[in-house]
Amino acid sequence: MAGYFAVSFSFGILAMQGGLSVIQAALTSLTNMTSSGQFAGLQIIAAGGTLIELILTQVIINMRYSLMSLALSPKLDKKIKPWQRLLIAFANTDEIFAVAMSRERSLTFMYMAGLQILPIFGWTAGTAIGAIAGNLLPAALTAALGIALYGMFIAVVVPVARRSRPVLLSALIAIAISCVLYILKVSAGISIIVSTVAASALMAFLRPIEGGVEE
Amino acid sequence: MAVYRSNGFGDLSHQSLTPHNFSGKIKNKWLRSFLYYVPYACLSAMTFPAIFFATQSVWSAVAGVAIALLLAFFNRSLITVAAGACLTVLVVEQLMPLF
Repeated sequence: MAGYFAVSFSFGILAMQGGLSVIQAALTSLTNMTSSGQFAGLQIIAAGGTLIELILTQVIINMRYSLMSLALSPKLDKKIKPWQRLLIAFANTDEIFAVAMSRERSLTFMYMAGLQILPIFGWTAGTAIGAIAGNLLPAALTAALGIALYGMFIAVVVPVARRSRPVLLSALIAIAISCVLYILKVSAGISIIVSTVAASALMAFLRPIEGGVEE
Repeated sequence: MAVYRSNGFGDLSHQSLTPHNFSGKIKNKWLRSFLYYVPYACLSAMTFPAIFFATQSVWSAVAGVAIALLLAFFNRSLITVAAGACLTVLVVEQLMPLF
């Protein structure tokens, strides 16, 4: 909960800097529920990118959720109706998925709803408060807070990259491509897509992940 | 679409972002590996070089990145890393006019 709030708070600050209103930022969070997806989307909107770029980026970044849902599906209670399944899939996050999969009994709709409501609320409220704070706080402070979400991205990648050489390599390749494309003045959306796909595809070819736990 | 086979429940790793560590297996090894790398490649590509232009000066951003990398290397939490980076940027930007 605190984690969701902190990430979405930083997203709210950045959304405000990117020219979104408080309502726009909060609605983005409520309807998307995807941190990296929303952030990539924000970069594209702020840079005045195209709709195609936006759609492509979202499909690639959020592809992993369709696979999580596939894995989650057999664990759901048989009585859950299709529209309830859709709601569960919509509000799925990396953390919710982890908790749900670690539960040994089959998952009822009430259990999933209980698991998912607080994150949805925290995520949306955090964004709204971040955007409001972004408008109220002095410029020096919001400028410093602009680096917060990037700091969290670093906090996610670095500990894994430290343990796993292939992950480190995929990150470095993605950064290298992204920097080159930036110098070539390629738009943010295309750059994120190309860097992500190229680095992941190359590493999947060079160092495929074996079944089970990595390493 | 890849065939998905659930094995019930997997280990609960807090650091990993992709499904294969938790449960279920996509049979195509390349696709499974590709999806495993996507979050890390994507977060990295979004962070660099954009992070260097997220603050009022490139130098304060460089200092913030250095502190964030250091804190993250020693497995500090999301919030600690972010706060450390912000604080560094704030301090550096306040000090810069003095030089």
